[in-house]
Amino acid sequence: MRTKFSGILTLLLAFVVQLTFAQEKTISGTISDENSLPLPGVNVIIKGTSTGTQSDFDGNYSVNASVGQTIVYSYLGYTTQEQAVTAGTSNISFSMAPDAEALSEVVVTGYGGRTKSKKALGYAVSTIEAEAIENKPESDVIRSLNGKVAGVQIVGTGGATGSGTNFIIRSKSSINGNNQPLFVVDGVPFDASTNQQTGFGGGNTVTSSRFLDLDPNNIESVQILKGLSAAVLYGQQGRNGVVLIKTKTGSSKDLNKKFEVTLSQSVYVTKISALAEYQNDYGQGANNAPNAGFVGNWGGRFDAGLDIAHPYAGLGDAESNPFPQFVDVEIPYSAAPNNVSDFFRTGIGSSTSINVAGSGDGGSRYNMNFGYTTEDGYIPNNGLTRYNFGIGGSAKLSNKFTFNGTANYSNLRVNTPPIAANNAANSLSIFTRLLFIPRNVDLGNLPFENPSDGSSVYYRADQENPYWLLKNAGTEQKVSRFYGSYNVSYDVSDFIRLNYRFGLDTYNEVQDFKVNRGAVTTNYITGYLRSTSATNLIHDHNFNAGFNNIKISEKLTFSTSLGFNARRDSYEQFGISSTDQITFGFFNHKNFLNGGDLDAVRGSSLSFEQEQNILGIYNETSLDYDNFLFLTLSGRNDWASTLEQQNRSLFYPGVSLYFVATSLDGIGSNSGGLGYLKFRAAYGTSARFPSPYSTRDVLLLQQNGFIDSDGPIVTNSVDSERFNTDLKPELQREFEVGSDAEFFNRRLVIEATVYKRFIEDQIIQNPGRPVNPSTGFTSIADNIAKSEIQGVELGLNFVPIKAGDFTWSIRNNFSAYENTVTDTGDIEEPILFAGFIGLGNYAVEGKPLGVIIGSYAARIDSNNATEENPFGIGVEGTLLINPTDGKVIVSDNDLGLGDEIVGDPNPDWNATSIHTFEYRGLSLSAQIEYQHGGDIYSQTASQFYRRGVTTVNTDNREGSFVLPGVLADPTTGTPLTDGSGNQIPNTIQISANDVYFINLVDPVGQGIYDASHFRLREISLGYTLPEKFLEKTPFGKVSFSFSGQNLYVRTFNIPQAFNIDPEALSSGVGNGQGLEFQTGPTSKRYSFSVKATF
Amino acid sequence: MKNIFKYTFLTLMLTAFIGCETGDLDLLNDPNNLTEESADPNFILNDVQITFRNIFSGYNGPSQTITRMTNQFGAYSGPVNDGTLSFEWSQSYQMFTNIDNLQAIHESSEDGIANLLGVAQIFEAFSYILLVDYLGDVPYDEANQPEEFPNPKVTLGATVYAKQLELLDEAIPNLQSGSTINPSTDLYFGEFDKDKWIAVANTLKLRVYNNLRLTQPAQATEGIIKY
Repeated sequence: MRTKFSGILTLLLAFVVQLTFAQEKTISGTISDENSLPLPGVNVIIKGTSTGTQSDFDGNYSVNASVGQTIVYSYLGYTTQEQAVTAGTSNISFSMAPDAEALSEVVVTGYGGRTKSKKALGYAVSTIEAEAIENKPESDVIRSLNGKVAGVQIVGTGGATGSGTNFIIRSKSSINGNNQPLFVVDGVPFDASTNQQTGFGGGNTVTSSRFLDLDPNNIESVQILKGLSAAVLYGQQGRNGVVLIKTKTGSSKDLNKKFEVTLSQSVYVTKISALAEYQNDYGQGANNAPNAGFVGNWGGRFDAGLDIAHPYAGLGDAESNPFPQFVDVEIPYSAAPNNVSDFFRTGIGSSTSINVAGSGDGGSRYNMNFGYTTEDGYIPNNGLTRYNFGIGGSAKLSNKFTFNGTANYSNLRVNTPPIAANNAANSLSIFTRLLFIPRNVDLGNLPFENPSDGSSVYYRADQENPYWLLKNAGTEQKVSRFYGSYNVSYDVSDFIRLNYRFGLDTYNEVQDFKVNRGAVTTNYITGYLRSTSATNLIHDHNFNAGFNNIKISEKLTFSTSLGFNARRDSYEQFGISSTDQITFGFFNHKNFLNGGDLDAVRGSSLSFEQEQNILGIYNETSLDYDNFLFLTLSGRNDWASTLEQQNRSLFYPGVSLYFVATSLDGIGSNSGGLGYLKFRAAYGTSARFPSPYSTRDVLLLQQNGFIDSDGPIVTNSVDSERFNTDLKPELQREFEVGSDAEFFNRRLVIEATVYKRFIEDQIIQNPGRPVNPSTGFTSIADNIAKSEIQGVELGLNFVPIKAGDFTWSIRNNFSAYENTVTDTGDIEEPILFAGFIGLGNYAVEGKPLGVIIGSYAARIDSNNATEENPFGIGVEGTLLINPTDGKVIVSDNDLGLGDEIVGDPNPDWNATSIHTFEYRGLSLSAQIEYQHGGDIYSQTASQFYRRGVTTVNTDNREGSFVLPGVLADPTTGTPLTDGSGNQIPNTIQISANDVYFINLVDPVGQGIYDASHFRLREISLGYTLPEKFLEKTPFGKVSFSFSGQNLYVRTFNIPQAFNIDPEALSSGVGNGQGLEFQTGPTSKRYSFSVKATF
Repeated sequence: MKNIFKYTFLTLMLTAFIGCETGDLDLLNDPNNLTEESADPNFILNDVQITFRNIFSGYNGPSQTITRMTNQFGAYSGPVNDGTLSFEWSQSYQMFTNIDNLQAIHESSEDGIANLLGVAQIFEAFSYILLVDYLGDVPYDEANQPEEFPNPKVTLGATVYAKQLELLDEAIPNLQSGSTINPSTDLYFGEFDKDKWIAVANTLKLRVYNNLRLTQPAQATEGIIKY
């Protein structure tokens, strides 16, 4: 009966359709916005057809339609409206309503390209739109995100343009493995490595991170998936978080026009963020006596009217001095106030971006992008040039096939003078003593090259003149990269879609490190040229079958997606390191006498290759009950080529459950302004596989184990790190609960998430777990450690004022985490993973990951007394003072005590507040940030104290100081007592020189500062021309903006006169934290930009 | 429509082509390093020669300072601390692993490498003698077997000493075996001369007997008289 009925209905329908076709008529009208202003560019389409039009500048349109058809009006940011055409219709005019939902984001889940509304997710996702990234004075897209996302730590490894950026999401889950997140650009993986050729002593911090290849102006949005349940489908690489980048090249956003060209141009300047407040009262020397050979500024007042030897007077006698004219010359002892600031410059940058987007009939879409960026850093000879080209497009075919793809090419060149961790052995760096050159040395007006052989000339023989390094040394990085994706999907039915996506990402990275002969630092003296050429390749195949929105019952909807993913990564590098330059000033390996694959600075071969493949099968199944209760089950099994067959497979599941309370009856927009309320809970897991080649034994080959008179002796030997056939993947588990709430028509939006992650069987590798050396080996890669990370992320968006055209909106985010090493297996010694032995980040059982361990000024606190340590000597308490010289007693050198934990670099919490004021086309926004806690070892601060160049320690130079403390035996630390058994307070007077130069800042613990600071990250002022101004021009939209980045930093526990920006990491991209070894201050940037669309 | 088939076909081809490489999970052997099978015994012996030199000079450094053969700068904690001898200790046992590999090569190859092995055995004996001289009881029976004994127990110093006499007594016949395969590099004598190495072995035996004179006077006397 039912069939018969529907059959009749169909017939009837056909008849009606037939009938209505005959009645085509012209419908016209005016579309306006919510303020009754005409809305141009509204898409007006006859439903079910591809015919349609757009409203003109006055919002008017006219379209031919038949009675019974429906007209669909759509415009970006507005609710799509449908209007039926009836016999009586000839004019349809109305105001479109802004779409509150348009602000709620869409998130891609998994490689399958399945999109979900953010509201349908059980985990936290942060989205950054293009506006926050484009046209900023920053060439590194990730640095532009700094502070904008809760739970993300972005720290530059230096202030030089093009230097690396350390990027950590929700703290580090591995002690000495990789913790950098997975990048997915337009749905396919994108290599974001930093291919550092040496450690921090060799200058790794200037190596750019490969996300520098992305053009910030070509980015449509960045989404950050932080937790494991969000990242399950992305495979094991997703455990450190996933950065989903959608480029404009790969955009599928609706266009308001059929063809649109966007041009943006910005010009920007880069300056050193801040120099210390230098004093100009005291100069070079010691104990208030000038000395032209010293580094410290303890040489007495300038206004005493003294003379001092010319800086080059001491370089030799009339015969041997490269500048005999300075022999025995004395010059007035006076300040050269700008001797540091003159070294730096104001770098100019510019960036041009052209985007062409168009849409054709039937939903096809194409994009073309071109970007050109050139930037000079604040250091001379530091800069980058980058070209980006991209094309992308999509086509929906009538036969249910959809194709889309992108192809991008980038070319990047970065130049940087040598910058390295200053206190590392044999480091070559312009910053060695640059920031504290003696106040009277007028460095910029002194020669720096020996006129006879071009070698470095400086007043000290133990380092190069920084100006000589600028001219004669530096690194150059050249990267050409191709990346793209190719995607085909087939809609089997309205509910079933098959999708195949292929991703390709390949680059060649050439790095050269050049030093002319004439340096004084070991390894570089005779001239040095190191070249490496690396090729990285990612192939990623992804096949996915999705079954969407299948109704099981009236209220229960089911979706599932099953996929297969194969990813191949290969990295191959060739290198040659040459010494003994023949012709000065010429850099080509044939101009060097000695060369080979073994590099002295790196300490190992420059040539190597590695490859790894990972196969994965994944599934995500979601159930939606009546639009308020959602359950998602996900899981992925990976098979990795880095482990033996029995251990190479790991399954890791996830589940998330959430319910939308506001979908229930009785809770809704009427109750107290609550518009939306969601509670979510998720459990996710992920894997970590070890780096390749850890399970099979190898024999090491050393080309020159020894060099005798006949030449190098080749050796073969067993590797001291033992292979481990039983190595297993590690499993990480994370629980996450949270809530999202919207009040008062989205004027108040709160997002809160708490999470806890457990990492077990953590792989310790390179170096691995120490083994008993009498086994013949010293370490082994092994699954031993455990750690736990817990944290909270809060977002609070608030619109305090919305009156007429004026809006003041505030976006706040807050995050805090704790990362504790709970177990280090049978390793008793702290595990060093970044920095130096005795000045680095360690993993210690029961302590936060990365505590800084080092020597300290011995103190005494009776509360810390134990049986072995009856006086409570340690890091805390009252200083112990040596009764013979009145100085502090150092734990290791004086007392022979082992190093202790002197700092914890993990901040207590971070908060950001972004305020935006908008009035008509004008918008002003400011981003302020605060970090509470988190220790930093600042070598720069220690040096400023020690060298006495700043205004911080100019008081009472001629007087004396008494260090507050109690006297103690300088070899045992036992406090001395007077006749009645009381400890004796120190009353020994010492000079300023003795306080700061020799003693007080020597122990590592004395260089640790609480890095709490306030920062004005960004101020920008934008103006968009009203559209009526542009009516007679070809432009659709024109906007201008001024932007300033990193404008002010206020430290609370580091003397402000030092002007040290604690956002520094001198150990390079990796797991280090809170280690500042003078790799260059951060930069401050200003830009002006124009963006126009035609 | 035709184009679509073409593209689909191309896609499938591409998948198949790259898929093979991408799907290979047996990428376990390190392409950047040799394996033990590809070892050159001469190069291993070079490593043993250099390592022994480092061990020997390692012992000498603090010893010379402590016995005032050279000046001692600073406090006692300067020349000797917790870490003293740990380098010599770990390097010795690493060297024994390399010597075990030479032994394996000797046993598996047709002609053997008796001369190379003989030299290596002398280094092994000398190293064990030094370990016992400095530290007394040291791992021996359970040493260099990481699978079976991840934490080797010590063997009595006297036993280890006796084993070294046996080892030297193996080394000498190895050097006398008439093998024509000589070490390519001899960093100690410039050019390999088996008689000189036999002399080294005998000297070491003399040293062992001399050191045994207080604990085992009879054996010491007999040994010294014999050589």
